[in-house]
Amino acid sequence: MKQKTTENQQADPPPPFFKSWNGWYALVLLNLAALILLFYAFTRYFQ
Amino acid sequence: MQTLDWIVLSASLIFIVVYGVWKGRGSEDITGYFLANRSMRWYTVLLSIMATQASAITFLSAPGQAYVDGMRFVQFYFGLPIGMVILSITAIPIYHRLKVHTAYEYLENRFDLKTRTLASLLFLAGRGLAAGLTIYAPALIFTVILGWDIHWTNLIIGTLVIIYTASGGTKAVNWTHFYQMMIIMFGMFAAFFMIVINLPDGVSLLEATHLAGKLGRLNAIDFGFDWNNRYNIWSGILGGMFLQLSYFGTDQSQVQRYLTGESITQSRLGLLLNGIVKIPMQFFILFIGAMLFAFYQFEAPPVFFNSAEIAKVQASDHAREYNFLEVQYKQAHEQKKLRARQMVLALQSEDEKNITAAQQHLLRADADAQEIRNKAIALMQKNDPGMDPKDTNYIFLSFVTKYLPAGLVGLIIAAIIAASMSSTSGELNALASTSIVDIYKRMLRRKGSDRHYLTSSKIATVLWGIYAILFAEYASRLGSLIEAVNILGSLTYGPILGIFLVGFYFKKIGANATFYGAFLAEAAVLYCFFFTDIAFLWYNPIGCLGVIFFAYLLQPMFETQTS
Repeated sequence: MKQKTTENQQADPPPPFFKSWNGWYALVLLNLAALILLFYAFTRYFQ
Repeated sequence: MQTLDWIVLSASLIFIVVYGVWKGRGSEDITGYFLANRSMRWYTVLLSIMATQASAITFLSAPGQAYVDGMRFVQFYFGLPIGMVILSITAIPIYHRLKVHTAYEYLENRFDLKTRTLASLLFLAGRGLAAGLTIYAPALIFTVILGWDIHWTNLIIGTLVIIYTASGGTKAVNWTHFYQMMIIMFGMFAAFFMIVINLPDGVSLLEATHLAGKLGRLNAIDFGFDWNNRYNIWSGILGGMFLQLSYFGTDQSQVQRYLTGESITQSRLGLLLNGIVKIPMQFFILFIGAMLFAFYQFEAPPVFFNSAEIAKVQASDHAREYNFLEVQYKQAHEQKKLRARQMVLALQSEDEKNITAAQQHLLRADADAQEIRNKAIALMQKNDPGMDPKDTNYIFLSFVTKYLPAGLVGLIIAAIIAASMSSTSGELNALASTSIVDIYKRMLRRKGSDRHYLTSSKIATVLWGIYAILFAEYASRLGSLIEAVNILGSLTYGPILGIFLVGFYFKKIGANATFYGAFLAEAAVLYCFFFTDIAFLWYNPIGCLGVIFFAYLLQPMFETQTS
């Protein structure tokens, strides 16, 4: 049951808001970094 | 529960079932039934992913966890956004281009049938048991707090899920997930609002937050590294990333959710937005628990939130001793309440010296109360050695039933049952797709008609549903084995992920080296489980990297054999 793995089919729509998906990946990772910093500040402030 | 609660609860559940059956009409083959004809937009994919992951226990247990242990559990999710990015780059394009119905179909394409079958069977074994527990765990809590009959609760929740999941397949599952998440989030916001307005006069939300922080309940970040510490930033990012990669990349109950996306773009957006919103959502649920803790500085909590265990000890020879501890606990609480008031006044004075002194007094009063609670728990254990000394799962619902008005209690119970149904429906749907696509259609009957496979898929969903209900009914007899069943997923996730990663990234490694490498990695994970104290989150990287390591070592041997 080997299937073709060729780059095929219909062109996929581009990502919204960014020119490429790298923008989205950066957004997700920057959001994570910002949340960690925010939680750290939260922990320290209310300790 | 009052009449209004029953009306709200029944209306919510009936709406979910009817809506699911109605939205799920019209599937003509297994692509329609299991993948909704790949027609879903990103928001449906996103909410479906979130609803499948968030079981009832998530909403019952997380606030209790923050109440007892603080908010450090949020770090468990730090690996999730990284996992979402990796899967968006690798798994989603591959799955979409191959047009697979299940994640395991890819394995035959990349390796061979035996690797596909091994992964399918591991999934069916682990997820099959988990589906029963997804129904049983909240039913047990309803039994204790609301006095419901556990067998009827299991049966009713299970049957409702079977009705719409079997009739409508993935379309029904995804669309009901959408509304289940709405009910769940509305219920959690309502609970948070009620905690805030139930705080005593003169105590603001900010002061309650400070109070929880001074008592160590807002410990959202822990940079300390310790192999045996379950929740710190390192185990969260590294261990959590492997766990989330396994869960979202190789567990059919999640893969099936984003395979329904109408394009790679829609599936990717669903996953990536999950990476953005999941941590804040989890933080909010834990924050509810921290606020509940602040609330109970001013209102007397029970010594132990599992009232069934209290009833047992009060009916035993230890009743007098327990009642004495209960009186002591009430006195200790009065002392703590006084100290909490002083703490609030110190915060209002904004004098650091006063605040530090008040914090010391409050911590001491809290430790005194905790000591009496520990003695009471030890007494309950002496009376019933098999009892669970943790009461985290009962804390949130105890508050809901005692302090919330009629109607809202029904809504929050509806939200918790909706969470149970959403996870269970995703699981049954995935168990059926794997059974039919990877086992029945691939190995037992290869040339059936579309109609035949569609009917078989519906039957498989019903059978897995019945199995889950029966397991839930039987679970009460398993006792401490339940924990073992829960851990089962962590024991197999790492090696399964390893198989997929070898497939994605190590093109020169073949089927046999990967297959036997997976067995060796599984042995390493089992060794860690039985003979070490390594925290379970680390089993995932150990299992995953183990497969890559052993497969890499074994590959030359199999190459020689082939040549």
